[in-house]
Amino acid sequence: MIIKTKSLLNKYLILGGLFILVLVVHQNEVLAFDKNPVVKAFQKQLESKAQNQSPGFKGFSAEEGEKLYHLKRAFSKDGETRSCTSCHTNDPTKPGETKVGKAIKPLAPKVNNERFTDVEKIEKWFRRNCKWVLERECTVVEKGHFIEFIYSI
Amino acid sequence: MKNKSRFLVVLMLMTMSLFLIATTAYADKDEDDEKEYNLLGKLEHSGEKGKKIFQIRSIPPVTDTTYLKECGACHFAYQPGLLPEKSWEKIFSGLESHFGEDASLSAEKAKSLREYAIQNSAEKANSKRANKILRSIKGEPPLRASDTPYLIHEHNEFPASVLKRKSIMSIANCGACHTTADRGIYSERYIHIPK
Repeated sequence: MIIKTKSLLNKYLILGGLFILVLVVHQNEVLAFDKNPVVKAFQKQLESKAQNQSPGFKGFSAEEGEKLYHLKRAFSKDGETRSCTSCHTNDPTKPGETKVGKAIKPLAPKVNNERFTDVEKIEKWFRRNCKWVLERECTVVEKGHFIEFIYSI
Repeated sequence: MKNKSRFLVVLMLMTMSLFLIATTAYADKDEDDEKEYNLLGKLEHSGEKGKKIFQIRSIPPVTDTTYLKECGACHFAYQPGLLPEKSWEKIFSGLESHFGEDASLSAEKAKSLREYAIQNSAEKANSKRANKILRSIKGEPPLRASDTPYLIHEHNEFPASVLKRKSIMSIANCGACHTTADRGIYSERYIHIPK
């Protein structure tokens, strides 16, 4: 009799655990892919601009964004290799570090929901960092790819 | 019963206030730099005379939250008191090429930060250390605090190999060794050089 109640309890525990696990996984998926209203509106703007600029535009792709994130380029003045990863590391869910040792919070919205919530800030950092790596500003298509990638993580 | 609990409450309040007095007195005694700063804070209301007699040793800490946020996003948010007005004017008029990097801000933000820096520059800091920085500069003021003769002199005991350690990165990373840098306190006793 005692053994029976024990196994019954175990059954409930396992079922409860599974339920919580499913909940957590589901929640994470939602967080990872759900863009906040600010970035959604921003992305829409980029999309309409991209359609106007190039009629052959086929939408933003996370894959292209990933390529951009890992792109390595030699800086014209001293040949230094520069990339998004120089400061944000190979894994955007991990904290990074500026060239003078200042900590950077993770870039991926999945682990840092303060990211991509302010258009002025988004534009400021695209402007500065694209110039740092590419020595030019990013195009609307590149920005769209990048956001698609960062939300695919 | 009622009286007893009232007595207990009074007793508790008394011990709590005793603790408070003890800790504040202790803090004052221990942190000279801050004491001087607080003293000045009080003296500021007593007019120009008091200001001239009592100079703080530390550099006044940054109080502007936008300054802390924008400048501090990439590097230590240097106190405006570390450089003369002329340096800040130059720095804030060339943010598009800020030591080789684009640090551009909206015109509005750049203007307000420029004003904050100028209003709190070394000339206005009323600080002994800021005055040492000022007095050491001959000719055109540099754009980096670490290029002022006073700071060069203060750091010359450290070879480049120490400043290049992964834990320090560069002389620009004040907080790596000056554990109280964010409070503008650069006293030797608060220095800890990481391995």
